[in-house]
Amino acid sequence: MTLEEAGSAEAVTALGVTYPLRDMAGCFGQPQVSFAPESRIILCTMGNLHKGFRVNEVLGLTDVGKERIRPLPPHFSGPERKWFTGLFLFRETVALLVNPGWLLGEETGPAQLSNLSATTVMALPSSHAVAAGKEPPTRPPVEVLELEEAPDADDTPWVPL
Amino acid sequence: MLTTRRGSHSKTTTTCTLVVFSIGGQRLAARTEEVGGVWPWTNAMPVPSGTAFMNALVRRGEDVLPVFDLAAKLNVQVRGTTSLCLIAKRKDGPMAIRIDEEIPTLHAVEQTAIHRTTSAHDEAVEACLIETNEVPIYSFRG
Repeated sequence: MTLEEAGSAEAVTALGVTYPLRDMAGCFGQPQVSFAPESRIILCTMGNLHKGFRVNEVLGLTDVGKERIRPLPPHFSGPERKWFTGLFLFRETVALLVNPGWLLGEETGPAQLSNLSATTVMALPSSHAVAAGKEPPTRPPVEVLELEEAPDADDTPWVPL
Repeated sequence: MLTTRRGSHSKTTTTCTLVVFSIGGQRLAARTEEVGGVWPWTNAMPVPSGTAFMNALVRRGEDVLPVFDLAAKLNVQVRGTTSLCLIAKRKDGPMAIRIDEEIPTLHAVEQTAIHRTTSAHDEAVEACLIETNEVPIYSFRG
């Protein structure tokens, strides 16, 4: 979903679920995401936690096997160990795996939803959604990622963002 | 086996080899056994981090190394458009340090020329006189 489609509301409602919006960079103490044409909002769900995150750009979706995931080097010893569960080689560079448990559980929780203004979006059969009252865009604006707990308790659940 | 015949008055001296490099024009040294190599610097990927001066990853082939921003710690800017990457061996694994484009040089110095220092460089507890400059010797082992 583009930032324009989400509007200026503090939350987006899609498929009957309200996603409070937040700058992902802000979660890591980084400067806010600039409003650029390639900026997007990613809607994430884990259990009964739902949140949307503004990001600078979505580079694509990729399937990453467990064997490709490496731990964060031990040199990183601060809160980033909680933020990222690992990394993997992605194209010519490296991608970090955000810890969804931390990301979705951090700060704004479901209890605060009633205070947020929300832009409603409706579902498309393809599971993509568009902003209510607007023409469907030529490409799907929303990809809903369902996050699941790993069956092995030792494995932290993750999702490439 | 190679042996050295020494006269009764000869002195035994131990030498140590140092890699001398520069960051922001400051000359620094590290023992060769603590240096894993020097590569061309490639774009690093920033990592949000609360660890001081550890704020990026650099990839070289299949290897991914954390980046220690020594320039920021020294409060200088790396010089040159084609800067280099020095691989420092730390006990928990190698890490990359961006250095000036000036090619590092090897210097064999006598152990006796190395002395303890109380410079402002945290990781440098030793220094050595190379040419006319006192050069801090960094240890990244951690």
